[in-house]
Amino acid sequence: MENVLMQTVTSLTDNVISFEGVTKTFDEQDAVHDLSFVFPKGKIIGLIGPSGSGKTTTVRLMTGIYHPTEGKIHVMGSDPRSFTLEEREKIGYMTQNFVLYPDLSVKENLAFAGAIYGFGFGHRAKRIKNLLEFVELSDDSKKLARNLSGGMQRRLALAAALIHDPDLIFLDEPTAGIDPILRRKFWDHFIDLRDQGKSLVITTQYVNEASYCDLVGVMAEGKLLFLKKPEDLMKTAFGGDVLMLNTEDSLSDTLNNELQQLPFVQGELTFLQDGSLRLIVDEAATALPQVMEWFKNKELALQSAEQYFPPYDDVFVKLIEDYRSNIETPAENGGLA
Amino acid sequence: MRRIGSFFVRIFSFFRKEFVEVLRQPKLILTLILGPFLILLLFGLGYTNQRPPERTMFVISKDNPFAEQIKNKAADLDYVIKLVGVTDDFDLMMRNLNRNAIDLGVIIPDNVYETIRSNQQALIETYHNQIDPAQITYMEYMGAFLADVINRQILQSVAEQGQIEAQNVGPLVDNAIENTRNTRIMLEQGDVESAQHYQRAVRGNLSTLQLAVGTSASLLQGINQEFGGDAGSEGDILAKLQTTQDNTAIAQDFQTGQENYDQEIASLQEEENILLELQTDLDSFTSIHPAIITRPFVSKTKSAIQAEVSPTSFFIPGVIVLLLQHMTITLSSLSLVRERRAGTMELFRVSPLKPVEILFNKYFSYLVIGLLIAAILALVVRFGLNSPMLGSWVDMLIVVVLLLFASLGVGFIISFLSKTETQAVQLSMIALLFSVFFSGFFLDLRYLLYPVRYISYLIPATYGIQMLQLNMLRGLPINQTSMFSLAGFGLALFFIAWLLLRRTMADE
Repeated sequence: MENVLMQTVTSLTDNVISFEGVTKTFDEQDAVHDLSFVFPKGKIIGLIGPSGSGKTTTVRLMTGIYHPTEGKIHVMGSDPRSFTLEEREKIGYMTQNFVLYPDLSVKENLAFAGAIYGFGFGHRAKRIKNLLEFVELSDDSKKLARNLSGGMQRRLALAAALIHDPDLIFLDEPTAGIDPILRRKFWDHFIDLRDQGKSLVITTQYVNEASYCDLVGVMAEGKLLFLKKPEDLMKTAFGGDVLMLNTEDSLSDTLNNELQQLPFVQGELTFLQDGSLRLIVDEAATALPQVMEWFKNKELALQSAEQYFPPYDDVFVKLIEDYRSNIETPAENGGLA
Repeated sequence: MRRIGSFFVRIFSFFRKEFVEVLRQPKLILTLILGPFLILLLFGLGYTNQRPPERTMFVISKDNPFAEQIKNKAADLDYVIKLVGVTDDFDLMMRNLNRNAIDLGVIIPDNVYETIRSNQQALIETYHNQIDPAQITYMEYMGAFLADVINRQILQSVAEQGQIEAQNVGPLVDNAIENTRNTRIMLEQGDVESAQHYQRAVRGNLSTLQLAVGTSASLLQGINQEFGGDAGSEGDILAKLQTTQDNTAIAQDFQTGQENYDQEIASLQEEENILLELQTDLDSFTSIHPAIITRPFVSKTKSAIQAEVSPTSFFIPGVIVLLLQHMTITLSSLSLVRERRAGTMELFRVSPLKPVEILFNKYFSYLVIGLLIAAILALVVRFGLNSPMLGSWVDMLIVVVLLLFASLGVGFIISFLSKTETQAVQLSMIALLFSVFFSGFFLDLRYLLYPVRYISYLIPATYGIQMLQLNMLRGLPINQTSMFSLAGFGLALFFIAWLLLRRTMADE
């Protein structure tokens, strides 16, 4: 499993973060266990997983807040425990909870955050203005942080994390409590940042946001189950691409068997309640013409045939369920964990 | 160069952040500045520094000869006692004492004369109902004071009696002078027989005189011997009488048939002069008030300090020091606990801030805030309460800076010992209580025994109060030992706080 993870990403580009057998223990309980992976530079890496799966601990290990109990971590080529000041200046970090100062205004909080990185008044003024516009807090810049709603506080925290234009950005659930429109705007900005060459590690509980990421790490119970491109994750969950077929005629058992025996078809056919047929294939792009051809040859009327992209919620649930069932019956399932 | 620029940007930014946070808590500011000022003002307005007279009941038997004197004397002592009553019922006095109707019960003994005759002092017992150790000490002093007053009263009566007697012997002295003069004249005229007649009269006069003026003159002589009066003063009365009586011209009968009596005549002239002096001395003695004879000394205490230090003024340096220490400890302890609990420390740990820089910035911020509050306080007490400021403002600044520096260390160490803000406030309050008792704020440190007194020197306020009192009330320069001790103490606390912060930020 570890080798798979390493292989998946090493082919992409230079690495910005690498974990080798990292375990972090609190009170003799592993918060994360034996993590090994590399994150490529200039990508958005999403970490998804249920609450308590170890996402925040992993981020804290990357930032140097936590030190590993076992294993080695390299971030930007250095051990986080011995980051130089210059390396720290390249890191932006947004915590999961709001940790800025409630008695300071939005603008004062941003000014303080900028000053920590040595930005004088002149340097940070324009940056603050732009960030306030980005997080749509320009009209609330004089409001005290304690008077902001939860969502506004998240936006302020995000702006604070980006104030010094960092190269490596850790965002712990940046979109929690944010409305869908602004959430989309955030992701557009993250993609912009990625395009500027920044690396982003983003944890989220909105599983559908995985589609914005270049790589998605699925975590559960302190382990990194998968680290894949979003589309590959879908394949992993369902065993291949999903095709959705609508036919006027119902298929006989014989035809069903024939269809299932086609070489590119994976697993059993599924008939849904609305009469549609779900087919798992190894590669949708090549399988779809062949399926259509098969229907034509069999003189069956095919109303529609298309690749189906299941919601990431379903993908995520499937992955976690599969993982848990593997844990419960490791011998039967080959022991994914 | 950029690093230096960043350093100053951060310092200013930290200061601004802390300052704005404090400013946005107006109740805190009011509590910190207006609160103590009002307390001092109320204290100054309400505190008289004059003890009210103790409500006193005397227990004395009806046939005790002092009964009437006690009543009279109690009226003279109305500045220390308020006579509630005189009774012969001890139980009544105790009941009054127990229900707090009186403060003091004084038992005058019976058979005083017999006790003294048996070579024992008569015991005056006093009873009180105080529980405050300081008040108990005062009551013990009151008992001794009353005994002293009664003793003086007796002595004064003796002196008065002596003076009355001295006044009564005036005609006797006149007779002695007249008879001495007549003796001399008779001898000059050669009438030895008449001279012998007058001589016998003189002897009788002198013996009577010595008996008459004995008591009061002895008293005066005792004073004279004790304090070294001039020869020929009133204290020599008895000596003069004795000299005159022992004089050979008077003591021995004249021999008839002597060739001349020049020597006796000269001697009688001298005796006459002595008697004239004695007459003047007796007049002078009787003119002295008996109270002065029995209590020749009174005291008047003057302060060498230039300014008049009222009770309020005395406490002002201590209040300023305690207030600044408490404010600084509270703010600094809360500051780091809040950062830690809110999670801001997590951001600091990822940022390029080093522990020493965070600590330095915090120190600087609260030092400036503390100095601003100290400046306002100093102006308010100086010009609002008219507190003396005899020393140098620069010295005061140095004391305040060192005090704040050391107090910040205490505060930050408390912040590392506290898991919650409530704990930090509680520990800060304990530090305040500790300081009130052990810093010398109201209790002179000399009353504390070693090694307990060493504890006092672990409190920044101890040094602060010592130095600020010297500066403000005595106008003396800063005590170098205290100054360097406080600075060293502050540095040690900074170092400990740095180690603790470094450990906190290093790993979890």
